[in-house]
Formats: sequence, structure tokens, C-alpha cells
Amino acid sequence: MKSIKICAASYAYSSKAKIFQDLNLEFHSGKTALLGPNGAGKSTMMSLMASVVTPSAGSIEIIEASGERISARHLGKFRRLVAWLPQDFSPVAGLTVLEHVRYSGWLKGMSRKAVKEAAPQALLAVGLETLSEKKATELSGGQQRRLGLAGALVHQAGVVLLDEPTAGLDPSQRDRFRQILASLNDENITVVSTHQTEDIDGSFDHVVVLVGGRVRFNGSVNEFMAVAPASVTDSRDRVRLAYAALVEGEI
Amino acid sequence: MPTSGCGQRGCPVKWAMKARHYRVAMIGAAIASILGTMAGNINLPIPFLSSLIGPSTMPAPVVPSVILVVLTGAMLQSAELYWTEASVRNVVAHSMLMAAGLVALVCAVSHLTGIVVHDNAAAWLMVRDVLGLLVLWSSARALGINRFAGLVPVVYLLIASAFARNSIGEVRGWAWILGRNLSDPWGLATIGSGCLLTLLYVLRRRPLAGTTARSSS
Amino acid sequence: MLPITRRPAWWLLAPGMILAALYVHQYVSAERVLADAQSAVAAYALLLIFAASLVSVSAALEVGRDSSSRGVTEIAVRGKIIVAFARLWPSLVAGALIQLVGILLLLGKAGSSPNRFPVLIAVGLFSALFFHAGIGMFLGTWLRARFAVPLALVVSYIWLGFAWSFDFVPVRYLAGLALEGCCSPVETLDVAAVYSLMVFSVLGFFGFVLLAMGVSGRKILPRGKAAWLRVTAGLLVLVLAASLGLFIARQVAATPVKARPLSEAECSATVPEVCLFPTQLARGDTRPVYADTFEALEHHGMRKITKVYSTSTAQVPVLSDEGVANVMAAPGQSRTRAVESAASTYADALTYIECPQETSADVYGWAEVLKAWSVQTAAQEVLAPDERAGLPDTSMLESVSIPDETDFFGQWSKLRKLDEKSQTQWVTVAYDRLSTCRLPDAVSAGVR
Repeated sequence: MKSIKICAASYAYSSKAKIFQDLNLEFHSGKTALLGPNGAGKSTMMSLMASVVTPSAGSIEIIEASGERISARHLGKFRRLVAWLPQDFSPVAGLTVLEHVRYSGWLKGMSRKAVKEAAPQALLAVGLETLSEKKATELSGGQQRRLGLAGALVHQAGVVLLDEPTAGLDPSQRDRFRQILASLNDENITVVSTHQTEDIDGSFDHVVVLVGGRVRFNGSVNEFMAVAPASVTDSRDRVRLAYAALVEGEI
Repeated sequence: MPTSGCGQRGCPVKWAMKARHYRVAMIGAAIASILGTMAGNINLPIPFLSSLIGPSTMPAPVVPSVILVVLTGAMLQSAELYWTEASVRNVVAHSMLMAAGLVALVCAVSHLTGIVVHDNAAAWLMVRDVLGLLVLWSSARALGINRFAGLVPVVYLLIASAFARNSIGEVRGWAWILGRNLSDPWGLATIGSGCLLTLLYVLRRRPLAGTTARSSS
Repeated sequence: MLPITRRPAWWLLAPGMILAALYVHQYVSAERVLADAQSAVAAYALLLIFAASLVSVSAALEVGRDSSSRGVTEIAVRGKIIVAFARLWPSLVAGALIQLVGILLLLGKAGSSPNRFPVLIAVGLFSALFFHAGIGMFLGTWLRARFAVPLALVVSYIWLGFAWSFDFVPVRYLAGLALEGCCSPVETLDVAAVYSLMVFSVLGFFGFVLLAMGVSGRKILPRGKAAWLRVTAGLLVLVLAASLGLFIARQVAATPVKARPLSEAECSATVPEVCLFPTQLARGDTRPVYADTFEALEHHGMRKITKVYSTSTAQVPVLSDEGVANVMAAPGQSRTRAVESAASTYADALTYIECPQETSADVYGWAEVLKAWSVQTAAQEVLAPDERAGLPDTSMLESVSIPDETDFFGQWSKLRKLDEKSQTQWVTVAYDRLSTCRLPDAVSAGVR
């Protein structure tokens, strides 16, 4: 998988609430942190890339390593390549944890046989293997988020879109998520929208900063940290200051 | 707390009503009352197999009544979110008070319509049907059927219309919804006992069966 | 891929089956469906109320589970129809199981039948479930469960109840319940009624699928052009389904039946020749009794009958000028009832004559006197003494008597006291006069 590309995309909830106007952005292989204040349009961008919402103008496409372009208009083909965990993930009622992951895989076009084999591995990857017979709706918030991730990853997608996966989680759950994130294949395109700037260094390869529906920054983590004054040596401080500089225009 | 636009006493009532979609509920109640009273004298044939017993019918006001009760019941419950169960205020009582208010509105609108169409009996029939079915809904909640309490009046209507007639074609007492007798003892008993159950539910703030506030949420 | 065990349809199945069984037990008389598989399966149509309720409610519950989730179904690769089918099949299977139980119970009441199992009616009734699955699916997608589930039940029931007795007859066949009017030993199914149901139900289901695709997201109004387009397409498909269904059923009568072809009747070698349909013969051959009755009455001065059918009066009049009689023969009919049916033919034929209003009541009364005489005379000739109990039934004579005018029961009492020759003489004259709307003279007292 080479990249996922947003080409001249526009999106608005209404004529008064425009989110994006003529947005161009490309996410490459590796892990990208999508940063931005509340209301910047991060979740909408994730939904656009997941083909859950359709841009009013422009297009979304995935470019394969072979050079083949797959447009989001071809939903079936496009969605086979995409995994999406929304910010407000909620499991399907009436299913156990294992059944939920199997159902998610089946929805993604996997055969019954393939999904039966892949589901336990996906649960193992997110550390929910011991809870596989528990009702999905009875899991805690952090466990449900991990369940959502297992469901998203079960079909080995090339593009992984995680919308604020660690929001509201306690530090140990966040650590768990970081481990899961680290275990994801670097050849995948992984985009994680987050507020937690302390996670940036070491976990991600690229950073995109979105403010008011516009891309304020798009570059490597090193380039991002270079925005902060050279006098600051602590990497966490550098990330925090760089983010503040880009979002609020001050250091 | 900003108070612009409403008095400090009036606001909580308005919030409670808004959370229960009071405008839609009131408009629905008014429309149902007008339609039900105007069609009060019509008997709708209901599917029934035994041709020997003769045709089976239900009074037309039953139809707008049951739709109104299903919709308003769900609207009233939509304000009873999980976190509201920890409130000092009795949210169940708010819902039931609004239900009582809707019955009063149905009573007023039906009687006004009844005056216009010269049919007071149809107006009372409409009120009886709405009250009776609403009481079934609240009784279901009192007994722990919370999320699908709206199913109970519908299931009652379905079973009544299917099984109400005995072998000689008479309507059985428990199927009072299919009759027009306002002083039917079965109907009065249903409404009376249902109101009592509802009152207990409101006072306890939790169903009579089960220990949690939302036995089947 | 969804677990087969935890589906709402299964736990609704038991109450649905119990209700259907109770209904059959309480309200279906065996006489109605005796020896007639077609009637038995068609009678199931009214039990659609239970199967359709289960299907719509469980569909709303199933689809509601997907709709209330977030991040699972939105980017499904599988098509909406496949996902919907994965959700809906248990509802359809459970509905079909209720139908199966109902049909088996009804077939049990019918007993062995000479006609084959009516596959078309069964398939038609099963297809009706798709429409109700569509209702549940649409509401379950559009609204929250606490609205959708009871509303699905209400809408399903109101649709069935509303269509049941709609004045514009073809509408009745869109819902399917009206198939209950099919069939009888002398009438067979008008297949247009079933085709109408099938086309409407299956197309209607796809209409609801399109509607559901347009309203997904729990918003009251669709969002975006594509959603509006789907909703519009869904409504158009529903309109198309209704139009096609109505078009197909445009010539079906108030009951979905056609007269059974007379060529299917099996004729006896008796004089007169008696032709009955296989269903009428399934519980005993009464053709000799019919033949003996007409022969006996002929000896007592009544018209000669050349051929006997038992079919609809639209096909064969009760008594034609050529001497062809149309009797009411039912499977399992006793010899007593067969004699009564045959002997009543002459009097029944009189009631079909359109007489002036001032004489019609009297003609009817005198016809009852004739009927009582015919039945008694034939019974004495054809039946053994122990088979004659209750014959003739004179209850009608008392009810049609006109106070202070004609006491038909009294006239009958006088008639039966006359000697045989006088009886025959009076009856022959009376029958001729009544056939031309003229009233007979009162029976004069005579000596037996």
C-alpha cells in the first residue's frame, strides 16, 4: 500500500457549517498522528477516508504499491482495504466478544472460514482473548475500544484509521494501546487522530496538524519537533510547544 | 445560571418537557384525538376466521389511540437516560405527570371535537382508549418491562382482536378495548389497577419486579 | 456469521406457535376444511397475523442491534441486501415455522384429501412475510428500538387489518389475509390472488430495503442527495409493487376463487346421473342417495331430473329447464343430509325466481311448505326409519308464517294429513303455480 489520498475534497454539514474546502492531503505508509484542536475536522476527515461520508466535491482514493488507484466510489473494493475505529465506537448488542469480531470480519467480506481463524488472533492482538465469551456490551469503555480495534483489524486492512482511540482511557489502557499500535505493520497506512501529544515521539513517523479544516502542518515527526525552539531539549516539551505554535500561533 | 427567556420557576418544567419532546407529543395527541373522535362511530372490521360467529370489529378510535400511546410512551422514556436515575428529582414522576397531562389534553381536544361533531360518546371512548392503553404501558414499566413497554398495549390489542370472541360470538370481558361500554368493569379494573401500579412505581422509582431502575433497558 | 442461537426470532417463536395453535383449535371447525387440503392451507392466511407480527418485531430488533452500534456496519464491504438477509433470515424462518405448524394443524383437521398440497398458496403466504420483514427492517433502521419495535407490530397489524375488508377488493389480496376465502369443494383458487400477493410482498420488501438505506443514521429526515434518492426510489418501488399487485388482482372477486371445472366431477352410473367432485366424494359416496331421492320424488309427481351436479350456482342453476339439478354436497355428508339437500332442490329453485314484491314473501313461505313435503316424502322412500330423525326441519315454516295472513306451518300440517294422491296433486299444482309467481290455493282438509 502506497498511500491514501484526499484530492480537492470539500465537505459541509450545512451551508453555514463548512468543514473542508478544496482539501488536498496524502497519507503514506507508516504511522501518522493527526493532531488538531476540537472542531478541527479530524473525525470528519477520518469518516471521509473510511468512506462513511462522501465529500460534496473532490475524491478519496487509495494508491496501491503497484500504482493502481482505488476510488472510494468503488465502495466494495475500497472498504476491503480500510479499517476504521470511530471515536464513539459502540458494539453490536446481543453478541459475545468473539462473535462480534467474527461478525465484523464477515461484514468486511471475509469468508466464514477465514474469519473463524482470524478472529481469535485479532482478540489476542488486543489482549481480549480471555473475554471472548463475554457479552460485548458488558465490557468496560477501554475494553470496548480494544474490541472495536480487533473488529477493525480482523481483515488485515492496509489502511488503519483510528479516531482518538485512547480518549478517556486510563494510563495503563493507553499504554496497552501504544503497544498495539507499535505492533501494527509499518507497511500499513495507519492514521491516528489524537489529543495526546505526549504519545507522538516514538510512536509515529509522520504528523499532520489540522486547524479549522485546513492542514497547518504535514511532515515527519522530526520536522514537527523542529517547529519548537531548539533550546528545548525534552522531546515531550518540544512536541507540546510545536503543537501550541502550530495551533495557537504562539510558543 | 443564565435565566434569560424564562422565569426561574418555569424553566425546569420546560426542560423536563423538552427532554420528552412535548411539542411533538402534544401535536400527536391533538391529531389523534380529533381523528379518533370524528371516526368514533365507525367499527373497523378485524381479521377473524370463524364466519359462523359473524364479523368481528373494533371501534375506530382504538387505532389512533394505540399509535399515540406507542409514540408518546417512547418519547416520555427518552428523557429517562441512565445517568438521570441518580438524580434527586423523580424523573419517573416527571414522565408520568406528562403522561397525565397528555391524557388531559386528549380529554379536552376530544370533547371539543365531540361538541363540533355532536358525539360526546365518541369523545369519552377516545379518552378511555388512550387512558387504558397508556396505563398498560406504565404498568408494563412498573413490572420491569422498560425498553419495550410500548409493545404491551399493542400485544394486548392484537391478542384481544384475535381471541376476544367466544364460541357464540360474544366479546369476552377482558377484551374491553373492542367494546364501547365505558363502564365495562374489566376496563375500569384495568385502568384502576394500572394506575395503582404506576403510583407505586413512581413512589419507588424502580420497578416492582427487579432491583434496578431499568430492568430491561 | 451472526450466532444462530442468540436471535430474537427464536424466543418469539414459542409464543407465536402457541397463539397460532390456540387460534386453530378455538376457531377453525373441521367441517370448513374437511378433506380439502386447499381450503386448509388457505385458511392459514388469517394466521398470518401471528407470523407477520413475529417477523416484523424480530426484524426491527435485529436491525436495531446493527443500527445502535457504531463503527461496525458503516464500512461493511458486504452489500446491504446481504447484511439485511443475514439479519432477517431467522425472522423469516421462524415466521415460516409458525406457518408450517398452523398448516399442519389445519391439514390435520382436514384429514386425507384427494387434492394435492397447494404449494402455490403456501409459497404465497410465505412471501407475505418478506413485506413484514421489510417493515421491521425499515423501522429498526430509522428509529430507536423503543419506537421501532412496537411500531413495527402496530404497522404490521394495521396493514393486515386495514387490507382485510377494504372496499376496493384487489387491495385485500396485497396483504394476503383474504386468501382465507379460498376454497371449497366446488371452488378452486384464483391464482391471480396469490401472484398479486407474491409480487407485492417481494417488491415491497426491496422498497423497504431502499428506504432503510436512505434513512440510516437515526435521523428523521434523510441526509444528502444520495439518501433522498434512495428514499425516493424506495417509495417508488413501493408504489410500483402496489400498482403491479393491484393490476394482477384486478379481476379477482371478493373471494379468491373460481368455479371448479365440471370436467373434474366424477359421474355415477345411476339414473339420474350424479356428478360430484373428488373432495365431495372423499368421505363417502352419496351419489346413489341423490339419485334415489330424485327418482323417488319423480314418482311422486315432481319434475324428472336428468343430471345432478354440486357446484356454484353461477355455473349451473339450482334447477334448469333441461332437468339438471345443482345440489349442496359436502364431504362427509350423511345420507340424511344428502336426502335433505336433494329434496330441497325444487323449493330452493323457486326462491331464485324474481317475483313481484307483493307475492315474494308468500312464494317463499309456500316454497318452505313444498320443501318440507319433498324432504319428508323422499326420506320415507330412501332412508331407514332411524335415519329420518329430525326430518323434515320445520323451524323455518314457523318463522316465515305471516301473522293474520298465512300460517304456513298450519298449511304443512294440513298437507301431511291428506292422502298420498291428494298430496301429490296439490304439490304438483302448487309447484307449477309458484314457478310463475302465482300463489297456490290453500290446502283443503281431506281424509287420509
